[in-house]
Amino acid sequence: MVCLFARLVDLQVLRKDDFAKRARRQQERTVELPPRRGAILDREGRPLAVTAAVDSVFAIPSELEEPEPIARALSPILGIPARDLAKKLSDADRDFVWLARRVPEAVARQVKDRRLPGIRLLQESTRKYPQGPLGAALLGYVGTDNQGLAGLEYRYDREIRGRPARVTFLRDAAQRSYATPGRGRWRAELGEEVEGESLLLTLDASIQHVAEQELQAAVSTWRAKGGSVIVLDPSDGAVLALASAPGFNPNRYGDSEPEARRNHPIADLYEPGSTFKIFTAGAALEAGTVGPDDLIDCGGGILTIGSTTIHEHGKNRWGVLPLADVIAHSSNIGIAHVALGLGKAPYFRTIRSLGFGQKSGVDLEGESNGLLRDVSSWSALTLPTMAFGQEVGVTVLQMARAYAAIASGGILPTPHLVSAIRRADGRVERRGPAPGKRVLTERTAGILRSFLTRVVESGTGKLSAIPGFSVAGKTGTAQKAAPGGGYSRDRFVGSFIGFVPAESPRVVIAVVIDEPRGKIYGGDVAAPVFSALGAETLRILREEAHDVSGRRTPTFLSADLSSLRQATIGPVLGANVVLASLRGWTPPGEAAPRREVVGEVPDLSGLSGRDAVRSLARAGLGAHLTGSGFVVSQSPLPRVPAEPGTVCSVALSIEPPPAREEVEP
Amino acid sequence: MSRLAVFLPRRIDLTFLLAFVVLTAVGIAMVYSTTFGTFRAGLSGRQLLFVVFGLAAAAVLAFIDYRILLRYSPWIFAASLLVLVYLPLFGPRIAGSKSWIRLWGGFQIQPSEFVKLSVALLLARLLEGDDRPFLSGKTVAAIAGTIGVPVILILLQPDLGVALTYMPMAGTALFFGGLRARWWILLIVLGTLLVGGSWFLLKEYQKDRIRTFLDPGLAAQGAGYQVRQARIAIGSGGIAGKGWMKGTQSRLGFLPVRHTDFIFAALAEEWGFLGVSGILGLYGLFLARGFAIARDARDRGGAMLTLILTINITTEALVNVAMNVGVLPTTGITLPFVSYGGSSLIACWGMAGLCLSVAYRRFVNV
Repeated sequence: MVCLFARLVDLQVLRKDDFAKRARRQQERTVELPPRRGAILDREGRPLAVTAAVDSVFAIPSELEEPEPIARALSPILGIPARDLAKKLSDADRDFVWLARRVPEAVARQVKDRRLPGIRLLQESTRKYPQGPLGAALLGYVGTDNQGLAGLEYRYDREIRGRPARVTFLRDAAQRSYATPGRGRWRAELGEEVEGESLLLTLDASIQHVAEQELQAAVSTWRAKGGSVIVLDPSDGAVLALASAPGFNPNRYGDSEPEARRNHPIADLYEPGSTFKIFTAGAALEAGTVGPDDLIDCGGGILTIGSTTIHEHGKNRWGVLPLADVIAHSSNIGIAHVALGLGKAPYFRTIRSLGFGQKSGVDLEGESNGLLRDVSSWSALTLPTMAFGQEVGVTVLQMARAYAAIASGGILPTPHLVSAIRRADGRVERRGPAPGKRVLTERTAGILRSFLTRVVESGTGKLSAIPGFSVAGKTGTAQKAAPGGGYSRDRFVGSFIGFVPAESPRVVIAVVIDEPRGKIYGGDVAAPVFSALGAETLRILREEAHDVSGRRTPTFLSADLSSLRQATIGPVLGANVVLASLRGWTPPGEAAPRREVVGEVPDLSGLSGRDAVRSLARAGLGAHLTGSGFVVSQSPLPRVPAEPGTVCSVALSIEPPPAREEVEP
Repeated sequence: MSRLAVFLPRRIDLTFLLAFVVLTAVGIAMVYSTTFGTFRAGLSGRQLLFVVFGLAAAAVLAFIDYRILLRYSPWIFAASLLVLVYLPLFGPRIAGSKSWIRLWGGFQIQPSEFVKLSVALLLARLLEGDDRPFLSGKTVAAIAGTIGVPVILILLQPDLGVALTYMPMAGTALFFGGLRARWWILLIVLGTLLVGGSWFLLKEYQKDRIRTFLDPGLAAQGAGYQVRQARIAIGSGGIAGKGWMKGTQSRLGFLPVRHTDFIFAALAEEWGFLGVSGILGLYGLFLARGFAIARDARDRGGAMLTLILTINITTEALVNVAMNVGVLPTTGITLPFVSYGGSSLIACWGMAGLCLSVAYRRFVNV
């Protein structure tokens, strides 16, 4: 008796919490309902990655009295044999059973229209990249459980993911789940779901689009293996575009080769070749071992170190050249002499300080360190050959960043993609790297800028010129290292890296074409890409140069109808999103535009910014857009008479209004 | 009638009555809770019907003078032995053993529960006939036979659980009959040998139960499952319990045989330590009143009968609780008055009726 009481006290008083926990562990099942993943938006709020709603069909068997006819009715809609459905539906003890997950919209609508008893729809979410392959390398993609697997999706997964809603079901000894066991009075506990945070990028979808288009064109023209383009704002390291060829479509990432999903500009190492010479000149100028006007001995085209002889590229032979022309004509011997005159240690220090041999700190996954060996392991050839970009491994991003240091007057910025994070409650938190460090004196940077300008004006980079602007930059044509050591005779990397306008640079653009065929010189294969992309980028940036509050966060964009360009971009994949990004792109199915009457303000509500501008233009009116996303208010109001040329104020918000038939693709 | 209203309350032991009526009511409530929403949902109604039969049995046995029953106890015992002999030979095999007689209307009875009454009556008669300080060897042999023969017949069914419930009667009879110390020692030694030796006679599932009792971790999902789930049910009930009909362990089907053998665990889960203490208190009250009835009984036979019956019932209750809390190995022993089961319930009410009969006739000059 005493023994039993002691035992009961032990079980029910002393150890009750332990047993209560054990009971809960076996009686409860917690299901996590994934939250809505935050969007990724470009600098103007154009969506690059969004979460779209899809419907899943479930049944409440305990509400069904006659499962058979319902199974027969559902079977053709869902494409599941009626027998299988009936089996799921006839388990009258259960309160919840999935019938079909993530069904197409048409199926969901049919299910909804049939209004079958006990058959319900539950909205789940799925990731969509409305721009298709645009920016795929940096956006990354998500897996089936909505977890980021690459790129920004992976790097910022914690922020974008949100917090899932937890639903706790009771389950019985036979592992069946109940919302309400035995139809008693228990309720499933419902945790609260927190929507993921949205990323606002420094990326400009328009520039990105042009960059990808031009890169792809060059890659196909020169039948190249691949290529990289980076457009960087030298003042703060903001990445305006980052293109990697070949690319892939993140909506169907499973269909692509892993190689295509690689983010080449940050992950791949290459020997930069002549584009590296400017840093050698910079290092020597910093140390004072040469002056800007010094004449450099180019050795008549031959430099012998030990048993190795270094030649100029092509059949060039120069005797003596001014330092500026050593860069402009890209003399290997001349720059090797400059490096030899400087010495290993100070050269290494400057190269290292320019960010080589270390990660740039960009907020992307998979960045490479580059390859910059320590001075102690250098051979006699290392210093003179590194002077013209051999025996050093760099990423395109490292090169663009180091050029940005020259462009910005000596400050090395940290490249970054995310400028702000918007929480689910609407609060916006600025994100950005620490300000850059000074790595060159302003004087040296100025001299290097003038050298690079000469390259385009009278040197190897003439094809990079942009009408109306002075371009500074450097060509590079590097032999790729052969697998067995030494250098390949037929595999090259052609590149052009530069900035524009040369006097006060707005953008640094790096173009690298991997293994071009036909022509191999950076001046031929990469410089034209720089020219086309640079011109387009300047035009896009100039439009917003009206904005005095700073380029990072535009508060309006003005409509320049003459600049509408036809973009070729894949259709939006069934998501309820319409993009404002590519001006002039008409989504399929939007055949019947609304009536616009000249002299009357059209109804813009719910339109995307792009559609609103077009609608106003057709009515002969101008637009002043505030915010980004979809129209939430306009002034003057619809149907108000207006003089042609009147500018309408239109407020946009990122939250799409309730879907309307006209804007659904 | 009016006379009856005056003397019935004085002559019927109301506290004793109250104790087992409340236990029975608790049992019906728990059978309702543990079977609600399952295919056994009708069992609480049937248990209520069994109470009516039990009430009838108790009333009949209370109003027949127990001395008449004692006088005829050898014949009653002989008749019940006939039933026990019939069962292993011709009885239907239900759930692996021949313990049942099928009745009309889907009902069936388990004679071994009722045979207890005849054994108790015969034991009381044997003790009445031997009132020296220590029992004679002949009486001890008679007691051993009275217990041993039906137990062996029940083991042939086989039904170890019910057979074990006969053992407290032997202990009670020998203890209150009077036995010399050397006999006790001999009994304990023999008992130990018997228990040890019976290991080889046990069925495999019975051995499993003992093994898992000794080491519950041995078979987490197998035989130890019941013991573990019962312990979780009892422990998670805590001090105040989860509330009637809110025992998740039992309602979600984790607790095995929760309306019969493990009804105590279900009760402990829903009513907590406080409720369980109340239930144990009721058994304590039942036993205490049993002792009082025995003390006040007009003769040795009545006293012995009451002692044997009440001690037997409370011991069975304690063994069931011990099994539920994991102090003793699992055997098919029910919680008297509370567990679902017609035969057990009616037999318990019958036993209580016999005790009431003894109490009713405690005055010599009536």
